[in-house]
Amino acid sequence: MNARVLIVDDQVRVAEVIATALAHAGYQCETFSDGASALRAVEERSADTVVTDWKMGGMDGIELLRELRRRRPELPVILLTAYGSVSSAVAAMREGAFDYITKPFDNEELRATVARAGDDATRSREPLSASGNRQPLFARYDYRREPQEPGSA
Amino acid sequence: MSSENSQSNGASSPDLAQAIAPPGRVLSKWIGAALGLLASIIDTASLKWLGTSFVINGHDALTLTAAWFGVSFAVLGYLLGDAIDGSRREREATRLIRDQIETINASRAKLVQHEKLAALGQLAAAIAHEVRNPLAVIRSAAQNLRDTVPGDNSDARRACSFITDETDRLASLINSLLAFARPVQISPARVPVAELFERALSLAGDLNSGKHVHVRCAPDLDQGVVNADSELMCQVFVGLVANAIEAVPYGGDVTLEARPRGREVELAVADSGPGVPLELRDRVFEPFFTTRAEGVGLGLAIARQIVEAHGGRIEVGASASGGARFAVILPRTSFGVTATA
Repeated sequence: MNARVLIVDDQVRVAEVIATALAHAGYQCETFSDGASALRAVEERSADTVVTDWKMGGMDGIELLRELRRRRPELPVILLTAYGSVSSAVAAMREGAFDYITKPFDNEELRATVARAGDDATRSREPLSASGNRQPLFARYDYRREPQEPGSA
Repeated sequence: MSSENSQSNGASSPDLAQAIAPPGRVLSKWIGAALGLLASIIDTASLKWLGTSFVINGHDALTLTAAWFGVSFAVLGYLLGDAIDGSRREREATRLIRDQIETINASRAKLVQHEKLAALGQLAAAIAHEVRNPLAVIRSAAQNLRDTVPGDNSDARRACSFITDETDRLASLINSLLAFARPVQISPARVPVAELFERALSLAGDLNSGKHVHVRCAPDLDQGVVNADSELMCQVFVGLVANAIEAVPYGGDVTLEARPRGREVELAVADSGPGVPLELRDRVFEPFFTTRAEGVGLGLAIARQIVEAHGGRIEVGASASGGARFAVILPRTSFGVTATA
């Protein structure tokens, strides 16, 4: 059975092109124009990955991410944003996003990220002995720059 | 900016008053009077020497005549000196007023430029979101279309590539505008110069493919440490090295140099390209100035912002081989170069 990806973006065309790009790679996609609808869908139906825009009317991407982390911590969430900056990437990863993609994006990179998210979610469902001693997700995508005092070596 | 203006204006009043009434203004008058007196003595002596007799009602009037000449000439000299003082005061006041007007105009131009850049920053941030969303749709849709075009339809596939390439160019423009418009925030740390250069060369290495440019560090590289934001300073040098690689001919040379310079430290990228013409050297750091057909003209402006945020400056000159030499000069006080043990 193909992996199911929920795509959330209040810009309907963005959601549509993402769905098409992922469908070409064999994913089963469902699009939503707001976070609340996506949240209901996650409760009602199965989902393997969520791709959501950050800035949206009503529930934004970060709020959706927090809610999903609370209800379905194993579900990988990929954040999309038109405000690309290091600080926003850091904020996204700290909130527990699987990854962070800036618009405009490359379809290949998007598909690769969704594939990695799926692989990671699959491994996380396996017993620890089978998947080895995995590092937490956050450590893999930690963009933080440790502040250093001038003069410290 | 306003405080700068007020400081400038505040300082101008005493300067102006001093220029209009300089402390030495009485000197010319008295010099004039003394010269007048001297002239009268010489005049009287000359007339006496020539045999002129000064007689009034049968009495010798030499003393009276000399006194009359002395007073007249001294008063004349005093008035002449006063006129010279007045003229000098006027010239100095005019010069100072002109200088003050130039300073005010420069401050005003700077303020306008600052306001323009602030407005540009807000505009860039606001449009970034609005522009990146449609760009995302266009780019992704073009790629989706390319996925469905039969492999033998090269025209359609090429057209799709054009769309994605041009979308990337627009996205890059938006990124540059945002980078330029955002205030630079630095997180300084001790960074070995060699490490900084090595990283910049590594990141810029991909740009060197096909041109066989000899990119290297100078053999006498200062093995010191600078206190700088590693990421941002690396970005500056990647940009400078990339520009240099683009400027030099096939097989050309790009050299990274570092040396102490008085109370400062100089990190430079020198190349063997055609160099930057003298008349363009002041302009290359201006935003949106470019000599390239496809350049946005923000790379060096952003580099200048980053360097200035570090309290330094960036300059362009000529390299030993006649090419360009971009030097980043950082103050030793806050960015001291220290010898590594």
